Amino acid sequence: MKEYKIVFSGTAGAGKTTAIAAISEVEVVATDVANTDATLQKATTTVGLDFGLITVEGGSRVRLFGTPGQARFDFMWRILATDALGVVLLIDNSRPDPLADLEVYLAGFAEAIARVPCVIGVGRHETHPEPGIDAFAQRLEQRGLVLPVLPVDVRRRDDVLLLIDTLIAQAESGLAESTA
Amino acid sequence: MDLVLGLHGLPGAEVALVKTILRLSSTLQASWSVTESLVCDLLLLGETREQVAVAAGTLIVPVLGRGEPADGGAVLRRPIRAEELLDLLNAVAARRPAARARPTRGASPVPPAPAAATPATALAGTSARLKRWPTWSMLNGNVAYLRIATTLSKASHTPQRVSELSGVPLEACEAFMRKLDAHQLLVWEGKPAPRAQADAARTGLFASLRSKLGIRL
Repeated sequence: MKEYKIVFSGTAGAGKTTAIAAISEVEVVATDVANTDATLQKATTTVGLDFGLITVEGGSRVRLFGTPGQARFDFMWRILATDALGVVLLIDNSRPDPLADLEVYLAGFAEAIARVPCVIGVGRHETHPEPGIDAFAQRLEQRGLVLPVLPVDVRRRDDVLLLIDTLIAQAESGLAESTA
Repeated sequence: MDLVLGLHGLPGAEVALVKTILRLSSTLQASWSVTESLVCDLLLLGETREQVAVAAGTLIVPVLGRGEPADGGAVLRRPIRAEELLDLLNAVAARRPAARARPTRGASPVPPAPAAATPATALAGTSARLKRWPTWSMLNGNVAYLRIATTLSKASHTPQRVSELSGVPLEACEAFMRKLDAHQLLVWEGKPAPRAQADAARTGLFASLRSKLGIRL
């Protein structure tokens, strides 16, 4: 039996806990406290880790970790992303500057992104279409990165599955790369 | 040859938006005029109960809301975004070799037209990778295109290998890779070296994870 992990990170309120709950076979263990940040329109916020679990054939387990969104917890991001199957970055497009938010997470996960699959899900895009999905791709290109960028609504399980499928596809592609 | 963009069944605000985007754009690679008649090269079709009869060779692109199902062809999604509209027009222009390049504003040089698509015979056995994530209008909400692009985002592969990894038929992989190439999104890296042995444990894990979550290739 082996243990693997997938890390969900991104801005506070972007839906990390919701995304994990959509696919976890156990009730998500959420380490929430009352939210005292007036800029966040939610009652609670994650200050530890969210934890979910998927058990696969053979008894191996894939642990799903949701990181706190605030940048002061970036030390946790780096630790969690080590040896992860992949990282899902969720961006809330209703925030004042989603592209700047993206930059924060690209910097915080820079070491991991160089080694493990990463997919970016942009939430609340239907109600807040600016910046467009292509603007995220352009920002990634400016940083020399080619990463999948998808509009998602993590309240829909199919959208979360699409993020996971995209992560797996990246991983499979990297495993299959020709050697020089 | 100038190209004509037809608008039919669209609300007045969208007609005005499209005209404004074309008027202000500096990245169009052909000269486009707009008409509300059906005599055009590309027809953006909104909601209409009437049967629309167009000339042979006219490309009809429905304008649909995001999340509305499409029948697999090109779609322009609402709200209409400038970059998606311009990508569509440039892709259509790239298929019309007689289209005239449009002068750009200011002192910038005229951008080159998209490179001619690589013939199918040239693709076989040659590997490529993405140099930029495609526009959302190119992916068009199509899961197969998303898988192909994702496979090419991480590493360089031949179309055959893309088909094996993504589960998408080879012909569709080749067609989409030609489209990516026409938009200069691919870096071709020649014939691939022999593959290393795949990590069987990881391959099995991914298959199990997809099965557990109900994800089908």
